[in-house]
Amino acid sequence: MDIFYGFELLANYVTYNLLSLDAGTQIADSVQFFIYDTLKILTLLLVVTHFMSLLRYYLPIEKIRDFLASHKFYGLDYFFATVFGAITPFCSCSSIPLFIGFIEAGIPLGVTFAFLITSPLINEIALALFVGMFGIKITTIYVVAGITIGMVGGFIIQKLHLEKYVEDFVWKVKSQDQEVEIEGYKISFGKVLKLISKEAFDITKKITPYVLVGIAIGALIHGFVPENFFGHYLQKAGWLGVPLAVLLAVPLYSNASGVIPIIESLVSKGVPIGTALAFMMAVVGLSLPEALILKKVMKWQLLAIFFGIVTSGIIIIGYIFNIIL
Amino acid sequence: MKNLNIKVLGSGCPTCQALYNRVSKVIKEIDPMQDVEYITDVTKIVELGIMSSPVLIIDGQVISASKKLSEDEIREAIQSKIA
Repeated sequence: MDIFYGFELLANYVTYNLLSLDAGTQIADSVQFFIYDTLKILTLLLVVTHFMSLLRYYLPIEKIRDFLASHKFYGLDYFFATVFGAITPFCSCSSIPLFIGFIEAGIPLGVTFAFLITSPLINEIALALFVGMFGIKITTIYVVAGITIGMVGGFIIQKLHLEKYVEDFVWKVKSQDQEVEIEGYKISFGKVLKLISKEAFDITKKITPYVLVGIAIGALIHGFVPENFFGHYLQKAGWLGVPLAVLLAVPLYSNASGVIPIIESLVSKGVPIGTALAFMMAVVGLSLPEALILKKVMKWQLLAIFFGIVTSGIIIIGYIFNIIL
Repeated sequence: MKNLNIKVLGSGCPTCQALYNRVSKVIKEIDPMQDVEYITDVTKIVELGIMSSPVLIIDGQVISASKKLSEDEIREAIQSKIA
């Protein structure tokens, strides 16, 4: 049985009994879809953000850096960097100190990029929304794809020897050797849980408006747009569908949490899943504000290669999924 | 009243700016003479061994990293330093 069966019953009850909408009408479809998705997504968001906050509490980024800097893994470090990138929340506020911190600790440029590429692609909010919208199987595929793009991208950047395109001052930063003690780190587990719960609720609260707007638009598409509507149009775009989707996604960055619920509806109306996944990855992984921030620490050549690799990776993944799924 | 050395370090992002504004506001209520330093040189953060911003430092001690503390949390941290 579907673990969300209870929500479905509740959504049905509100739609058909409380609001007395007639089953089978477009408006009833939309309303039922909106209530069910909202309950499901908000629950998932709370569960996933709790879990990720806990993980992060015990594995702060400084520890990850020390781990990556002190071990030689003969290639496996790319894998670890992407996994750590996946569990670290991506915030453009921190991308600069993170980049300098990794380089300063002696972590290779390619491994640093493996982390930087995967961090925005796989994040807790995208994961929660993905599980809710597309199920575990597609989510797993999405995660594997994100990790692969990060590993391959990082590896290519390493092999191209692009260190000369990192701004000179980055190499000169020297961090103090002693361990920093951040206050409040040594507290009881009960208090930790309370902190984590607060953080999880804060994150969820912050993105809820976007998610609700996204679900509402998705619900309207679900109820009012005819079956296979987009499939019909995208067929005309043919092979260009995937790159077009990626291009369209770049300016949408700020509303990633609102975009995912819309994608689910697009898929149900005929958009191929690979095209949708490519679109989704481009929304979270390629952003202009992010590029402008990173410009402070790297020359444009490196920035262009970085974005070029991620864009090509996303397009290739899109094609592969359209073929195999 | 004891003069504190309060610094907010950030990369100039909105979260960092918001933390600085909050700290400034709380400080005005407690002690209008007290200064808050806002440092946007990211290398300073890395030199401390920290990799996320914003960072709040009171009297050389790192109070928080990558958190937009609430006004109450800021007040509590400052009060504990004064006491």
